[in-house]
Amino acid sequence: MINTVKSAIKTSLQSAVSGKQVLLSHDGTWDGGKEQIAIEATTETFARDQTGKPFAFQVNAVITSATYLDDDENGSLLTALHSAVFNWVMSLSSLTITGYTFESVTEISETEVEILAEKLKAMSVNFSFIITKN
Amino acid sequence: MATFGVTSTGGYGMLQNFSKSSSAEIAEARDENGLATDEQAYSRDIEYSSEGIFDGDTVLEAGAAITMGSETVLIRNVSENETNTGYKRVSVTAGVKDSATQVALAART
Repeated sequence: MINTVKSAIKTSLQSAVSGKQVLLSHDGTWDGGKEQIAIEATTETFARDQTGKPFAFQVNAVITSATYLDDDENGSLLTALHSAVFNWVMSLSSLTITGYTFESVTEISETEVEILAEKLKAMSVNFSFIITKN
Repeated sequence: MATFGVTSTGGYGMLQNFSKSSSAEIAEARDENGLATDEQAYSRDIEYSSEGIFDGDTVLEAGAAITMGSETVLIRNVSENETNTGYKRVSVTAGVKDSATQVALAART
């Protein structure tokens, strides 16, 4: 289910940051030089039915935007990229996830700029949302 | 054998908890020192309560009859609770005293 969720996030987010590379994880193609965005997500039980079986989940997602330090000395590229992601999260009201219904975003937080691997600068939006099994 | 989950039925929605409790009214006699010497139970109250995640059921109001556990009892309290971080929940408390004949309130029109 988590891969389906991440794919749904990617599909929706990609439309908000057209031209930028959105990855499903920090894989081997992650280098920041192309103003990349990586999606990480975990799920946890949010609600259970009468028998104790989970039927709703909270998805905890982290979307990290990164740029190459040498190409983005003043950080303007990263700021623009991160803002686009944040605005996408703020406006998120639906996601197409097979077998589940998107309910609502319930938490949003951001991180400061950090340096990754000595050549990237990055910022993240952390957010949570609830999905219910159909 | 241990029982897992909510196995009783009654109330509304996807049950999250269910409880049955009984209490008795007891008369007592005391001696000149204030110590109880006799106790006489004279009435018993059975009360059920449940909380469920609302799933579209029609929720009756207090005073109506509802089946809780294995018997039909009168609703003493029902509340519908909504929150901006979760599902709507319905809590209901119902019960019966002794073997009283129960007459439900008519539905409001």
